[in-house]
Amino acid sequence: MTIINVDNKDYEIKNNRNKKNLLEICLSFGIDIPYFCWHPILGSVGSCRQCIIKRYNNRDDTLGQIVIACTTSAIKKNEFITTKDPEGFSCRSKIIELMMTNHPHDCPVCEEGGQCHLQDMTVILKHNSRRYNFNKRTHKNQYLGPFINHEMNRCITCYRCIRFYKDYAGGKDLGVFGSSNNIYFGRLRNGRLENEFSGNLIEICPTGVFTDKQYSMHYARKWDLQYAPSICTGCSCGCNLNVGERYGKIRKIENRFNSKINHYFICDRGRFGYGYINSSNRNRIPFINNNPIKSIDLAIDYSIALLNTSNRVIGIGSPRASIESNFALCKLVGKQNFSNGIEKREVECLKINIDVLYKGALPFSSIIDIEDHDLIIILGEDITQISARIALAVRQAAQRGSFNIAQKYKIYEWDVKNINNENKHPIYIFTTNKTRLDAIAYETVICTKEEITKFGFAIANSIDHNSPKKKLNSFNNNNKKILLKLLKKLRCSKRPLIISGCSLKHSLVLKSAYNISRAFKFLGKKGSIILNSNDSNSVGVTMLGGKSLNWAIKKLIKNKADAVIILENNIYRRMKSSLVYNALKNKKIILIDYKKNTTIDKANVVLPAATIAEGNGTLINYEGRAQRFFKIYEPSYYRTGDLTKESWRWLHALTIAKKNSKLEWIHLNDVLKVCSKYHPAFNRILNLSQLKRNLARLPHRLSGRTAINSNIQIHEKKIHKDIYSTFTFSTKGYNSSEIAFAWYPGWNSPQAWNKFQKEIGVKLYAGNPGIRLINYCKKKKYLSYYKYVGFKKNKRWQIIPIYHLLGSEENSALTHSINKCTKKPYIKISKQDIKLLKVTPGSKIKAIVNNKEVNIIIKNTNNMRNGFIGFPFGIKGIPLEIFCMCFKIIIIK
Amino acid sequence: MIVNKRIKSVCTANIVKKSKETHPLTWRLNKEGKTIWLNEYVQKEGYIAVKRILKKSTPEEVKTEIKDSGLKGRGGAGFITGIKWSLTNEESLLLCNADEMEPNTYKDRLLLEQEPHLLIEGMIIAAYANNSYKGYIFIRGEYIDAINIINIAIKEARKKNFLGKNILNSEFCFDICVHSGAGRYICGEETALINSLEGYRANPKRKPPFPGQLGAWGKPTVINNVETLCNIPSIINYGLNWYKKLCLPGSEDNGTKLMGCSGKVKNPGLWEVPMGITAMEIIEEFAGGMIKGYKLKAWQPGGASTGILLPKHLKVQMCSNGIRKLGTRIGTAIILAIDDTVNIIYFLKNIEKFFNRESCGWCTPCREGLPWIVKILKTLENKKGKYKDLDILIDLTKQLTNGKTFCALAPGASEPLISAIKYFRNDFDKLMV
Ligand SMILES: Cc1cc2nc3c(=O)[nH]c(=O)nc-3n(C[C@H](O)[C@H](O)[C@H](O)COP(=O)(O)O)c2cc1C
Ligand code: SF4
Ligand code: SF4
Ligand code: SF4
Ligand code: FES
Repeated sequence: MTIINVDNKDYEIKNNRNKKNLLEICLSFGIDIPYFCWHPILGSVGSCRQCIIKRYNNRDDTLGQIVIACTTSAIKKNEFITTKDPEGFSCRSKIIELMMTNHPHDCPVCEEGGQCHLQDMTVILKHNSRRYNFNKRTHKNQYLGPFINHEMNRCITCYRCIRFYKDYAGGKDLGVFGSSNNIYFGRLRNGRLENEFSGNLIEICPTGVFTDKQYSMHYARKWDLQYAPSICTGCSCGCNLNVGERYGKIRKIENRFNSKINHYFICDRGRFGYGYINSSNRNRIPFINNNPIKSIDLAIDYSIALLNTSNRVIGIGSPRASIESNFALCKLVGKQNFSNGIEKREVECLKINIDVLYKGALPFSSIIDIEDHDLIIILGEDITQISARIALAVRQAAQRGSFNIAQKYKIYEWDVKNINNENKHPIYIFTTNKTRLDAIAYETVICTKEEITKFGFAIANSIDHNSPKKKLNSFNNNNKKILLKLLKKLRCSKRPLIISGCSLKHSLVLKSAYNISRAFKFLGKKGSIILNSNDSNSVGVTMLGGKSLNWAIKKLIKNKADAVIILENNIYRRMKSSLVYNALKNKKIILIDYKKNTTIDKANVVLPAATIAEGNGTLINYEGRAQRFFKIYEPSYYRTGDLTKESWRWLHALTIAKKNSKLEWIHLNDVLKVCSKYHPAFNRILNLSQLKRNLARLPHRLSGRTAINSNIQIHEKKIHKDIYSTFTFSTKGYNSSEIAFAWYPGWNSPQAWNKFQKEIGVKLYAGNPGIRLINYCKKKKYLSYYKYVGFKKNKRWQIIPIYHLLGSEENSALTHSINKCTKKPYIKISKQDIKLLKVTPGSKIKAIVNNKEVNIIIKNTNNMRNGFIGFPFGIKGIPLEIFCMCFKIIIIK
Repeated sequence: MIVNKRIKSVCTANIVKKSKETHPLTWRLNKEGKTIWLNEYVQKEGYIAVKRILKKSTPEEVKTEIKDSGLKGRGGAGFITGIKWSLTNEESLLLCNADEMEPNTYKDRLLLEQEPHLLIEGMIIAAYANNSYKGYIFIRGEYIDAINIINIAIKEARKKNFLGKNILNSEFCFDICVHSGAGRYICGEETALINSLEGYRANPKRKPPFPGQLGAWGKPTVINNVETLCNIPSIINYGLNWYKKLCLPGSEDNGTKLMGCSGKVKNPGLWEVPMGITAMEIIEEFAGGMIKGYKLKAWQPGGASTGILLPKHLKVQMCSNGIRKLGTRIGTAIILAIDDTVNIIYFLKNIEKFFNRESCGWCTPCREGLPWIVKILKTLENKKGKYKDLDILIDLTKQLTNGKTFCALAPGASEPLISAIKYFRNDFDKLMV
C-alpha cells in the first residue's frame, strides 16, 4: 500500500505502485490536474507539459521539485505532492497561455464548444487575458470524408490523434507533418479517413480540430441535447452508446464507457450509422392495406380480426429486435409457431454458439479481455469488417508483445507505448479473403471455408490426438510448415484465444474452432474462445428457441399456415426471394417494423415499431451479455399523432385484445418476469440493479427547454412523463451505472468519464451496466469434441462474401453519409480467372445475377484463390440470395 | 576506389608541434588537411589498439579501462562514457553520433574528413567492449565530403578485415553502416536520432528506458559522439595513467579536446589542447587575439546553445567544472568571439531563429515558446519593443528549463537568452520604447 499525500491530505492506494502515474492517481481521488496529451488508454508521452505538479522528497521538504505528473510514478511508500503551490500553478497556467498563442478562440462558431476539453482546462487554469500580440499561424484544412470535419487552426499539438489513429487503431492515412509550431495533422491529400475507427478522433481530440460532420449539419450544443444510454445495433459486440437527440431527431452518437466491451472506442458504423432512425422512410403510424390509420384501436381491432379468422399464425422474429419483442411474439403465436427469423445455416451456427456458451471447455472472452491473450487464431471471420470492435482489441493483444520487455526493464504500463514495438504476439488468420489484420498477423492463409475447417480440425488433432482426425499429412508442405510453427507458438503461449463466427454460415468452422479450444483445455491453458454472431441480438433470440426461417417459409409455402406476423425483419435479405415471394402470396400479413421494407406492400397491417431511440429493450451480445437500451425521446412529444411504440407493446396489445384480458406489461421487467418463467437464464436480467432514483436525460446546463416549441406555440409544453423507465425527460435526476451523458461540473467534454470512474480508465463507480447471463462453469463436464464431417467436392466456382464495415449492415447502410462511402457493386476474382473469363480488371461489366441485371466493376487481386468470386455482402445492387448458395451469373459485358 | 581523390577539408589549423603523446587525436594530421587513408594510418600506429584488445583483453577489461580513464562524452552532455557502457550487458548496437549541427561547431567534421580510420578504430573497440555486431554512423546530411570519405574508409577497413566477419582471425564480427540524416538539429539528440534511424519522425523519446537498455529496434544501444570514440584507441594504447595526466591541473575532465575559436579573431581554427586550458589562451594565443579595430564584447564557450560570457570571464578553465562555475556548459568547446560591432539582440535573434526552426514541435514550451521569443526579438530589432516584452522574455526563459521541456534543445536555446538578459540588459533597454 502506498500513502499519497496530496495538498496535505492522505490518500491510500492499494497494490498500484508502479502501475499508475501521479496524474491518474490524483484524478481518481477527484483532484483536477489539467492535462492534454495523456489519455487513459493511450498512456503518457509527456508532450504537452500541462500536468506539472510539485513533488517533495519527504514531509519536511519545503522546496520540492517540479515534475510532470503523467510521466511520474508513485515510487516511494509515502509520496508528498501538491497541486496548489504558486510555482506549480504558474507553470501550468503558462503552458495554457502558450497553447493559446496560436489557438483561434473561435468558440462561438466551433462545434466543440460546450464539450471542449481545451475550454475546460482554460477555465480551470484561469487563463483569461492575452499577452501574445502577434499573428497566429494558420493552416489549410482538408476534406476528410463525410464523417469528420477538419479545422487545423484549433490544434494544440497534443499528438493524441495520431497516437490513436496510427499506433492504436493501425490507421495508415493520417500523419503528422512539419516542425516547430507549424505542425500539421492530416492526410497526404484530401480524402476519406479509411480506418474503421476514424470517428473516435472526434472524442480523442481535445479541441475542435476533428468534429462530427453529421452532427454539425444539424448542430445543437451538447447541453441542449437529450440523452439516454443505448446499445449499438450494428453488430453483435453490443458497444455502449450515448445517443443525443433534439427535436425528435438523433443528432449525435457518443461512446459510453463500458470497461468490458468498448471502453473508449467505437467503430464508425456504430457512431455514424443512425441515419435509419431519422429517415423519412419510417413507419410512424399504422397502415391497413396500405392506408394510413390514425388510431391504435382500429389497427389492433383489424389485426385481431385477421388473426381470429386464420387457422394458423406463424410468427417470424428477428435477431435484431429486443428480447422483449421476440418473446412477446412467441407468446402471442405460441412456441410451436415461432420462428427466430434466421436462416437455417446460421441457426446451426448459433446453436453451436449457445452450446459452447453453456458447456464449452473454455470461457468466452469479453472484448477488452481479448487484449490479455498472447496468441490468437482466427478462423474464417473477417472481424475487422463484421465486428470491428473485436478486431481493435485483437490489435492491442498483438501489440502487447512488448509488455514482456517492458516488465523486464520496469517500464510502466502507461509508458509502454513509448517503446518501438518489434515484438508482437502471434496472430494466425485463416480466411477466405484478405483482411485488414493481415499486416500484423504472423500468417494469413487464404483458403475455402472447407479448408479452414480442415485446418481447425488438424490443429486440434495435433494437440490432442483424441480429437477427430484430420491429419497434418493431408496438407501440402507450405501449409504444414505454417501449422507446425503455429503449434510451436501455441505450446509457449500462456493464454491463447480462438475466434470464429457465423459469417460464413458454415457450422463446421465453428465446430473446428470449438475443438481447438477444447484442445487448449487439454493442454491446460487458460485460454478463451469467441464465436461471433451476426446481429445485435442473434444470441438472445436463439436462446429463446424457435425454429429457423426456412421452417417458417416452408410452412407458408405448403399452406400449413395462412397468416404471419413479421417482427422487425426484412426476410427478403435472408432467403431466396422467389421462395419468400411464394410464401407470402395470399397470406394474411401483419408487419411490425420501423422502416418500410420490401414486404410492406403486401402487408395487411403495418404497425409502427420503435427503434432503439424511441423504446426500451434488452439485447444480448455474442458472449451472452444482456444490456438495456433506453428510450431517448418520446416521438409524440414532437410529432403529434406519432404512434410509434415498442414492438413488444404492440404484440402485447394484440395478445390481450385476443384474450380480452387486462394490460399486464407496462415495464420491461414485466415482460422479462414472464419470459424467465420459460427461460430461467433471463432471470438474471431482472437482477440488473433496480434503479429506484430518477435519472436525468438532459444535461444540467440545458438552456432552452422552455423555448423548444416557441416557434409553434408560446405556451410551454408539459414535460412528457416517463412511466416506463427510470429516466426523466428533464435535467433533474441522478447518475448511476446507466449513464445518459458524460458531464460533470467543470468537465464538459468526454474527458468527464474520469469523474464516473473509481479507477481511471478501468472501472466505473457503479460498475458496468449489463450482465452476463451464462457463466462459464469450470466444474461442469464440458462439450466433447465435434465430429468431422466430410463434404462434397467443390464446384468450379464458389461465392465468397466480402464484408464491409460501411454497407454490409442493413440499417446503418441507410445513413446518407455511410451510403456515400459504400462500395459500388463489384466482384473480385483471381488474376487467372480474369484471363479465363476474358474480362479486364477495372472495367465495368453488365451481368445477370439471379435474373437481376447488375453493373459490376471487376477487381483483380493477388489474394483471391482461383475459382473464388468475391461479392460484397449486403451492398445495394447485389442480390443477397447469391450468398444462400443459389446463384447464376451470366456475364453479358 | 578513389582513395587518392583530394577532398579539401574544413580547416588545417594545426599550428603547434605535435607528438602522439600530447596530441593523441591530431598528431597524424598533415598541414594540407589531406585525409589519412588506411596505409598512412597503419604506418602511424593505426589499428594497433584493435589488434591488442582482440588478442589480449576481454570486453569487460576494455569497459573497465575506459571507465577508469574517466573519458567523458564529447557530444555536449559530458556523461562518463564508461558508465554509459556499463548499462549494456547484452548484445547491443553501436551508434556514432555525427549529426554535428550545433551552430559554430566543426570538430567532428575535421575528424571525419581527415582521420576516418581513427573513428573506425574507436568504433571497433567500443563495439568489442559492448558486444555489438553492428554499428551505425548517423551523419549530418550536409557533410557530403565526410560521408564519401567515411564510406571509402569503411571499404578499406573491410578489405583489410578490420571490419566484417571474424576480424583479424578472432571470433569478433562487426560492421559499420553509414546513415546520412536529412539535416535536422534534433536528430543529434540521441533518442530522436534513434527514431530517425528507425524511419520514424525525429521526436525525442522519454528516458527511461535509456538507449542502453532499449534503443534502436528495441535493442540495447550505445551512442557516442565522434570525438568521444576517437579518444578510445590511444587510451588503449598508452593506458590510463598517461591519459589522466594529459589534462591540466584543476580540470575534472581528462585528456585532450578539440577546441576552436571563430569570430573576428586573427587566426580562427581548431586545435587539440589539454582539458583545463583557459579561454584566454585559446583566444589570445591560438587564435591570435582580435583583429585590429575589433574589441571582444562577449563570447560563447561551446556552441550556440551555451551561455554568453563576458571578457572578464576569459580566465576560466575550459573544462566542465570550470565553465559550470559561470552557470553554463562547456558544450562543444568551440569558442565564438563576439566583437563590439555586434548587437547582442540581433545576434540572439539569429540563433533563436535557428533553434525555433529546429524545434521538433513535440512539447509545448519549446514549440510555442521559441516562436514567441523570435517574434519579440524581431520587434526589438525593429526598435518597437515594449518594456513588458522583456518580462515576457524572462517568463518564457523560465519555461524553457530542464524538466519543464521534453528534451535539452529548449534549455539550450534559452541559455544564451538568459545570460544576455543578465549581462546586456542595457542593449535591451536601448531597443525598447
Ligand atoms: C538538441 C540536441 C542536439 C544534439 N546534437 C548532438 C550532435 O550533433 N552531436 C552529438 O554528438 N551529440 C549531440 N547531442 C548530444 C546527444 O544527445 C548525446 O548526449 C551524445 O550523442 C552522447 O554522446 P557522448 O556521450 O559521446 O557525448 C545533442 C543533444 C541535444 C539535446
Ligand atoms: S476547440 Fe474549444 S476552445 Fe477552441 S474554439 Fe473550439 S470550443 Fe473553443
Ligand atoms: S488535432 Fe487534436 S488530437 Fe491531434 S494534435 Fe491537434 S489537438 Fe491534439
Ligand atoms: S524541447 Fe520539446 S519541442 Fe523542443 S526539440 Fe525538445 S522535445 Fe522537441
Ligand atoms: S498530460 Fe502530462 S505532459 Fe501532457
